[in-house]
Amino acid sequence: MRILLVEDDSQLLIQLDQLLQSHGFSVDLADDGEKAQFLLTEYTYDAIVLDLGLPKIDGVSVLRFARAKDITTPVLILTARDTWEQKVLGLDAGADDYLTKPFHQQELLARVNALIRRSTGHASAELSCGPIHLHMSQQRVKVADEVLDLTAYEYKVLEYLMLNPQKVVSKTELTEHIYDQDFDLDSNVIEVFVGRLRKKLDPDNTLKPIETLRGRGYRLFSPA
Amino acid sequence: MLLPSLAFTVSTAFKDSLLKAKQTELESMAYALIATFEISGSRVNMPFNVFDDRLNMPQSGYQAFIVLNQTVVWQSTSSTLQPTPLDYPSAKTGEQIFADELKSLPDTFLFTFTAEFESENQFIPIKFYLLEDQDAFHRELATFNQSLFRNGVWIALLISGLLLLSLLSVVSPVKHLVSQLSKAAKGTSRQDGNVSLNGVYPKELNAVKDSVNALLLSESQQRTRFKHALQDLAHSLKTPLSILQGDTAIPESSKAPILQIDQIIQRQLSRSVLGKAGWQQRIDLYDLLNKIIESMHKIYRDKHLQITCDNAPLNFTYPIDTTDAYELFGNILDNACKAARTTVTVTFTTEANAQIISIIDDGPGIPEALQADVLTRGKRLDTYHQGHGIGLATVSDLVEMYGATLQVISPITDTEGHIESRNEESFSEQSIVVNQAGTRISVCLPNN
Repeated sequence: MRILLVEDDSQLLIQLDQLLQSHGFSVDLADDGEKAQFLLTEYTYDAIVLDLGLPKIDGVSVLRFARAKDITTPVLILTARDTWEQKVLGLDAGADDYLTKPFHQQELLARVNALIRRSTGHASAELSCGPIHLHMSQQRVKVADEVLDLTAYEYKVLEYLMLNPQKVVSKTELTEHIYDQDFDLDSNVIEVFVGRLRKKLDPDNTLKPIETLRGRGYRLFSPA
Repeated sequence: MLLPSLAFTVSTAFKDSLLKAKQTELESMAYALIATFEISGSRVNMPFNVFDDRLNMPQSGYQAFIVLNQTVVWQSTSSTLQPTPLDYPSAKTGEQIFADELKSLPDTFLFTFTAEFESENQFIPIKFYLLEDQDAFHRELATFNQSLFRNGVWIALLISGLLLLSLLSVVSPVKHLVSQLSKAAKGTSRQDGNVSLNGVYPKELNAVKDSVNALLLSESQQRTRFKHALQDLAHSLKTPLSILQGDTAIPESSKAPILQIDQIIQRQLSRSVLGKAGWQQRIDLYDLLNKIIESMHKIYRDKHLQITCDNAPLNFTYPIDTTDAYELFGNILDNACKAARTTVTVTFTTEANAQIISIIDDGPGIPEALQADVLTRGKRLDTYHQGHGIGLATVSDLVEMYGATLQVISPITDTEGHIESRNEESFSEQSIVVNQAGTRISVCLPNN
């Protein structure tokens, strides 16, 4: 999943970037409001972590800008200004959740995962598709109670497909959501990941959970 | 007082003038009689009718008689009484007496003059008396006084009206200023979002208005600058704290002090920023609570709570700082949502001297054994892992600052007793929690 992280403090920015990447997220970074607005208009994200106290354009203005552009990506605001007036201001401007500094990193991760789940209509941290079970918080995948060993990108591809079941997901969309902006995009790599996933999920070729729609993309469906 | 005194003076002056005129009139009549009088030896020669018809006509009100050696030797035709010279004042030769009040002659003017006439080589004093009935005089005086009184009343009314108008033109701007000051103190007079005095005043009061507005604006700006400075300070401190919190090189034993620093920053900085200061504009509490409730729906969406707000009475406003109001009700609602199982309700009540906002949750409530601790300093009751327990401490501080009352009832039944926290009993760290059926927290805001 692809996250836009907006924080003006460089140390905290690096720290959070490392945290999110270590938990399987692709992260784009912005250290001011202007850059954040640019990235929002250029790319699609699964969640946004937005500090309110930003230089050039403040966080609330960035948020209002996004909502005015019909960008419905869930937003978690980070703020040191923890008055209720500020929290309500941020939530009223379009944020979906808030976290006040200083915060526990695990709480940040839990809230980001919760936002992504809710935005795709999933109430629980555990996603299921037939015999395939994926636990987002634990980043663990099981098929018929057998734990699978997936690489980071294989996991990301499967997670994105399970969050969008029965939906045709193009290679481009997959690429955008599992890589950050700096990565050299190559859609053939996606084909490799999907191929490997199929072998691990369905070694006997009986389930066939991932369908290829030529020229359009992939679709995860619940096997019979 | 001035007008009656003036009227009395004018009336007296008129009376004196009238009396003088009367004296002059009678004096001239006396001289005419003297001119006509003749005496030869002991024989007096006066015509039956004299030159002045007023002395010839009975009931004219005028009478005249001449006295020689205490004897009336002549009396005018107009006389209606028998004169008794011994009862009348007697003037010396060549002198005159004018009297308007005589016991022997009530309501009668008397003028007497004694002249000497030569007869047979002797000078004989002859006394001339002129009498006039005072009826005409009194009538004339009464007519004048009535006219004076009538005109005086009109003049008094006119002057009073003019004085009243002058007074109103002076007092009205002052009253308007006082009214504006009262409205500003209550927070209902504002311009551009700031409490201020409005209206057009005379030049002298405009200076006062401008000075008061400048003072209010300066105080508001200073307070805003102070608030922003403290918020910036908090932001500057909290970001490095976040970094420390997330730094894996920091041992776990150091995380607690970091948290403690954060709590101190939260508590002390918020105490510095929050609180009643000067005149506050009235804010719509119903509108504010609904905004907080919308936020609560987002924050607690996983709990699927039904958070409702009863209809508030019209104009449910209160003079309170917006930030303070958000802190007060945000913290109470946050606690209620944490505790609630399914529902949170906000109700409004208006009493004669106060406005009451109650937040009711259907959570577990507070155990009876622990209820006393709710109001005890330093006690913490909550079993939640979210938050730091600062929230209700802030509520307590704010309740005290605004002279309000906080009432906590748990569990909510008809007969259960309740705990009441007066503003003089603030409590430091508190949270509401767990055990029985529901909790109601009521904030009673006194009317100003």
